[in-house]
Amino acid sequence: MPIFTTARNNWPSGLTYLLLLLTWEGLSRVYPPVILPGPWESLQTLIGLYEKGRLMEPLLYSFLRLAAGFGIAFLLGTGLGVFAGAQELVFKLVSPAVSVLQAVPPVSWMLLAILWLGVNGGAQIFVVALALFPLFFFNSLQGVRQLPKELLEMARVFSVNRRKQLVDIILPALAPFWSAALTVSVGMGWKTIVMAELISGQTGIGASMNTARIYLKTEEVMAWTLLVALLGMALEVLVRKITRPRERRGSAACDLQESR
Amino acid sequence: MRFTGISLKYGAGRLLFDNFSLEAAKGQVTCLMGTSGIGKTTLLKMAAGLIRPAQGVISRDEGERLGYVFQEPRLLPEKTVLENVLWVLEQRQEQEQERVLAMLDAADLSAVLHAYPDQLSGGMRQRVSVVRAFAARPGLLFMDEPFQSLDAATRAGMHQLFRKLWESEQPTVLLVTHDLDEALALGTRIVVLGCRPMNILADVTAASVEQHGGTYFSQADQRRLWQLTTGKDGRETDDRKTAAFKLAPSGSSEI
Repeated sequence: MPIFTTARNNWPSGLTYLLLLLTWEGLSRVYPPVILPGPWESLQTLIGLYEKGRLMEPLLYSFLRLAAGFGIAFLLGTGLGVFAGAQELVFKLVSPAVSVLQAVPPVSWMLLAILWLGVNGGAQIFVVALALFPLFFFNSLQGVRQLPKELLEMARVFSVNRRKQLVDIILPALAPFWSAALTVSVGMGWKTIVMAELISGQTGIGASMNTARIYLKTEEVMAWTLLVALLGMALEVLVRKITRPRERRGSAACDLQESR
Repeated sequence: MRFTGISLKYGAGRLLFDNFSLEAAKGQVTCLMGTSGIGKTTLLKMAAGLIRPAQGVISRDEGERLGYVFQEPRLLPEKTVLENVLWVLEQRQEQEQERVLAMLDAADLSAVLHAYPDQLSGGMRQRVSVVRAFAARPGLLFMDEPFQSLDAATRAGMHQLFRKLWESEQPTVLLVTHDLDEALALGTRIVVLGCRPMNILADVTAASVEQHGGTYFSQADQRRLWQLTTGKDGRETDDRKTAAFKLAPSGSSEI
């Protein structure tokens, strides 16, 4: 009974969201608003921010930074990752460096970036790019290492041209690795951006949150948090949807089993 | 196609080939036999340019197209049967759908043209792989135990298919097999190989080739081949004795 199963599978997660919301509401009634504003109040604050025209600009800043950092990390990470996957020497040279890069906390990068680049010098983009780079690097590396060598060998013997090999063997094999990297990194990048803006404190969502904190406007902090969390989840779902390996075939013949 | 003075070491210094030479005559089906692990697959891969020998020369006709039937089907999982076969053709050959469809039909695959490999049985997949190799119109076709994983009935069907396709395209074939019956049924020449380093224990050419791709080996040759390929114990010495009165001088041979 597939329908029943699906309903049961969907139900608990919906319930969990509801329980969380109820808990939040319940706690907000126990504590004063300056400590914990309730969900309704947060939502109203968010709408208020929008009406006062204080929502879209920070949002846009943060988004653009995410896009830039994400793009740089993707290009560099996959480029170098593919290269390292194909060339053992490159792997040996680069991989330890990337591991070190990954071990350094983003906060340290942020502080250094501000010192090096100044607050408005794209320090946030730098940090996001650095934070995401290893993800793309290692996933691409892994992908290249797991390319179907037998199929490539077959293609070579039959002198199939490079373009066909790329489109029909290499890219489909790399896709799941990129999909995983993109999904994880978009959520991570989004949170990193907000943190970076909070530290550099001029523009963007993080900066707005910091300002709200300074003036003890807890409801605004909560409103921004709500927005960041929801958008982060939405981004992950979106990326997963876009990058998921497409479902092939309708229903190609059912009774294919051989008779002999 | 010809191997001349091939040498190759495998991993930790195991000598697979030492000054090994062999020539496969044009338009013939040369069957290579011998126990597992003596480098028959490696030999085919070297012939196809997938592995480089440490020493020696492998010569093929300039611009000759290659085909290969691997031990596994090696089909693209995201392509249908028809797409898989067309995939190895050159651009201009893609007009030749008709020819490919006829081949697939001969292989009893017309019902599954648009099925994906994972929807097929192992035997069907291997048949697709055989058709693909012939469809590429190879001048030189390598087959590495192509029918090994199939049951006897399917194998007999595949032999028929092979003969049908070989007859129409007449490529030079290098076929590795464990199965003497198969070699006798398909080969125009049978080479039994010994190991470490690879050497030629016997080299037998069919006494006659029929019109329809069937071959006939003389009784004496068949007996000798049975002895060579079925004896297990003390085989090494036996083999060498047998090889001594064989037509093939150790090392190289020619038709």
